[in-house]
Amino acid sequence: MSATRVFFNVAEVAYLAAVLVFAVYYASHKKGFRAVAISFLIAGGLSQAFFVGWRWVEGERPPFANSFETLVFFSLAIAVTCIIVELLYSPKAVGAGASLLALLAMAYANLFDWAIDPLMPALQNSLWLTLHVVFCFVSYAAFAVSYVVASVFLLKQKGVLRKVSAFLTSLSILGLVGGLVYGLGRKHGIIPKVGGRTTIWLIAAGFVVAGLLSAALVAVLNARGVRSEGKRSVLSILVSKTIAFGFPFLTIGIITGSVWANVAWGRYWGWDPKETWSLITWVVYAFFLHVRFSGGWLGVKAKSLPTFRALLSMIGFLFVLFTYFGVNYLLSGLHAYGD
Amino acid sequence: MSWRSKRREDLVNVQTSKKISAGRKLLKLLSSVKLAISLLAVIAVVLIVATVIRNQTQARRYIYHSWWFISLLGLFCLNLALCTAGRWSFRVRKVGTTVTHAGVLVMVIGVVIGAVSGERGYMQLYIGHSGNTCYSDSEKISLPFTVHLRDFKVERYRNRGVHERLVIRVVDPDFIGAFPLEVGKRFRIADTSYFVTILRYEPDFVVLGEGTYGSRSDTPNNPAVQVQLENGSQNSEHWVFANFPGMHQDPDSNVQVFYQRIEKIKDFKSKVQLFEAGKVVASKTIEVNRPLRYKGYTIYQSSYDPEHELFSVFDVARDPGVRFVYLGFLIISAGVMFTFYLRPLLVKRGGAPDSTKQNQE
Repeated sequence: MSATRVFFNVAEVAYLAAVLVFAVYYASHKKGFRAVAISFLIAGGLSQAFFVGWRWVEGERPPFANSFETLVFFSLAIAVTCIIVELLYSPKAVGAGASLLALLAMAYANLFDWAIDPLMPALQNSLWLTLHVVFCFVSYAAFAVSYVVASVFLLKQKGVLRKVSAFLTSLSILGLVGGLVYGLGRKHGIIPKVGGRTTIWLIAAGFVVAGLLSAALVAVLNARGVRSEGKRSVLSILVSKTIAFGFPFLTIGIITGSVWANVAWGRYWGWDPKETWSLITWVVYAFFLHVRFSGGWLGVKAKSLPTFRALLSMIGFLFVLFTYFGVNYLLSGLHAYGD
Repeated sequence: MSWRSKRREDLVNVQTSKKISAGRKLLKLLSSVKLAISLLAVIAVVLIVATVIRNQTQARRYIYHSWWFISLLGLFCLNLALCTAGRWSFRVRKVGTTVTHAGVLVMVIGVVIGAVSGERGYMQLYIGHSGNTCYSDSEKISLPFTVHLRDFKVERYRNRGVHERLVIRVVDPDFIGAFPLEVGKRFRIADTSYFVTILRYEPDFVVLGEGTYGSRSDTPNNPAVQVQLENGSQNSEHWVFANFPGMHQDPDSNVQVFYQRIEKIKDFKSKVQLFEAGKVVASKTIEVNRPLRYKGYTIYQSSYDPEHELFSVFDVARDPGVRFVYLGFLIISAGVMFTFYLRPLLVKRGGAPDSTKQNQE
């Protein structure tokens, strides 16, 4: 096993440990476990940073040029954001979710080819490649953490909101884990290729299982007497703060991409599907930031604004995921070389 | 004043105030955040629809470059301009928003200047040839200088990132497909009765003697693989070459095997000189990410002759608006950073107002 792989694996194990120890902390309420979990996250992040740095030196180019490399950086950015959020705000139940996302991003990275491929001519611009990818993925990580905070916030609400949130959370975990299992199975030739009607049946089954899981989750939350800490709770503020942190990064990420496109192709905007979807995502978060000025006109009263924002944050992250993955597989365009 | 004239005056006053109130209402609507939010939502939906259209040329024609979409964006800009003009403030709490919105407007001014007075076309030049005309979809652009292509080279990564595979074509039943190149692997060709096994690989194939083969070196100068083809009891073995795809192929055979080896392109290098009044005024090796700029025109490496590598294609653009677009980018970046990173610190220090307070209009 090469030295770089050791760093990668150490990070994976550390994130898994962080998820488990955070879970133990939530169950036991003993603060020592939280410190241990954060230490695992820090250790994982350091190991992963070594991995990224090593790859940079070995490949003699910034390691941000394909799906494998961006997923690894995405995971690192999520871990760092999660550590900062934990240390500054210590919100309940966010650490486990965010660590799980960091772990899943690493696991997904495993599906792709590890080889340090030489770059095609358009990508050979270290300055713009680094700026563009780093800015975009730091923003994606902030939005990912906001998504986790929003789902925890909504799970703590009463009635329909709790049920809807439980269903969305179950569905996204099932989708992410299911996709990973399928990807790994396909990679090792264990699972046959699924298509046509089977896909529809699988999706339908996914919805049913998510429904059952969410019912169980709601039952557990009800039984444990989990309650909202009020609309002005840490969670409610964090949903907005993480987005406010990520938004400038996304803005500058799109701008650096645009300047780079002008340097390489002589056009700063070409309505390429990836470009357009990054703009759509930007518009969604711009909408999020302007909602408070709507003055109740959207039918959202001041007191339900936090819930509305949490829902918007969850929807916003789906747009991020589509811009990142969906566009590559479902729409064609210039960024197809990212695979 | 008679009662009649008084009445007429009253009537005029009422009509003017009605006009004013209608004008004010329109202005109020045009400068409202409600309109901004609605337009953002509509633009997002239109963009989603546009990206779903498979044919992106059609998406450009019917959506991105259509009069109604441009009008929609125009309306949004008008709204943004009025919003900013009506609410501008240089107080710490609002200056970031004012600057960001102003940045968007500066950027839009740049885009409009580019669209109105910019030019863009492509130019195809064979090695050793010159030209001063570019072509766009609708017009011919004459450049104030002549471009001469002295030399053009495609550089490839020799041993890194090489994509190798076995491409197999079957006539009956009709099939064409690619298979990974793994020595020792035996696989069936789709639903046919044929089986293929890759027996051997030689990077620099050479005939050593009768029936004996080997490699001259480890460098892939003449890569070849030996494949075995089985069809029931029939069995044949032959060599296929990456550099000579037609060698040892029987054109009448039902199955043809090709060894495809694609070396990744590292760079395109077009050595060009620009002439004006018979004199060389600029010379440069143009590469992707390294365009040549002269007199407001920028010449980009855009495409090439993939078969014989005898010509190079350039995109030539003149966009006087781009400096405003970049200025807009700078202002937007400064604005968002101030709003989201600096302002919270400054406002907190000055006695924190509630950031999540609903701002009633």
